[in-house]
Amino acid sequence: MVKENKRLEFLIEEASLKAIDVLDSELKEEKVDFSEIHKKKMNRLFAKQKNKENIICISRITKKIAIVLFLFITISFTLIFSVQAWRAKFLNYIMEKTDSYIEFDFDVKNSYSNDRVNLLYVPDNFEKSKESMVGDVMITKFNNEKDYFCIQVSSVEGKMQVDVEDSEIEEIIGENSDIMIIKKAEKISLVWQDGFYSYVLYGNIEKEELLKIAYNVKNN
Amino acid sequence: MNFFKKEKTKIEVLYEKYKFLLFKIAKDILKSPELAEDIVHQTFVKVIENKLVIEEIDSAKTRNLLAIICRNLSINVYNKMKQKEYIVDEIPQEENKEFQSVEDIVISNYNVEIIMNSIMELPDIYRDVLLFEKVYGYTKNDISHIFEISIETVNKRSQRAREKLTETLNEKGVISGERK
Repeated sequence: MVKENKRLEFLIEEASLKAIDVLDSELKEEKVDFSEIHKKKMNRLFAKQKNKENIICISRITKKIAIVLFLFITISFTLIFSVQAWRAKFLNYIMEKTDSYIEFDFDVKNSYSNDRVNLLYVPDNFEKSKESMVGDVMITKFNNEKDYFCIQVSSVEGKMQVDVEDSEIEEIIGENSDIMIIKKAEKISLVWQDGFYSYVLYGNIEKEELLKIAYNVKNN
Repeated sequence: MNFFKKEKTKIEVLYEKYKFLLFKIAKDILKSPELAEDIVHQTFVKVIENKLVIEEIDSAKTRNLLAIICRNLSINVYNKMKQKEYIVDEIPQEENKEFQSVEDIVISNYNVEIIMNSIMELPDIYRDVLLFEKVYGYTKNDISHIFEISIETVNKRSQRAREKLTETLNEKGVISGERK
């Protein structure tokens, strides 16, 4: 047996590299016309290989795109949320987009109507607790165990007063009319008109819920 | 990148460049153009399956890599067809033969030249295994897969190639000491 020897192995490696060059000079070709069967077989092999390479290529590109997108989104969100003005603008934009997709809910249990107005959406567990006319203004109040909301409907010719002292005011541009949102402590009020009536909707419930009610108000 | 392009893949370029060379190697062994065509196809299947690294298309290293695979696949087919070993100038195996340690061998251009000449005189099947180990850096397991021979056969060929080389070095007086 030949014992392991680093020097010998090194010499064999060097000699092998030289041998490759000598062997190379001995290689000869033979020009032939390959058969059609062989050509088809080779073409199938190449097509298969090309598909594999394409799949690898696509997966590499997809990974790169995913990384770039991830970085873009991360950086964008970081920037938007780090600047207060941008954050407010962005969130308002999202809300407007979301609001435009609110669906009408025709469930009888969650609706209410009187002579002047139809509320096609009333949040779960809220029931009418009071309805009265004060001058030209119809006031309807809804309650559940702890929360309430109230809608005041008056003709557009009439006057309406809303307390805006120490309030945050925001305006949402709607399809038919603009809605003014006034937030004061726990109370949020929405004010708008539709050409026939003016509406004030207020309560201590979430703004989103009030907006959903507002978008589902129809006049009679 | 060949994404959605009609560019030739590396394997197609290799085929176009070496198909006639590989055909001749296979045909010289098998004496059949049809079988030689099959071996050419098989050679490229081996390159793809084993993900062999082709650094430079037009080089002695690449040419010999393909030639060696082609030759060994041809020999396998020949053996299966004839039910006997292809004549490859087998080195007669001498049982229990032991050689003097080669610890004192000097690394010199002269010795490299002697070993290279000795490698050139080795039968193809031994030389191919040695070159795949030393030039291309494949493991015995890789060689077993690529040449479609058992790992024992690879070990045997590798060992006997070294024995032959050591014997030559002894004969040339490069290694001092008596053979045991």
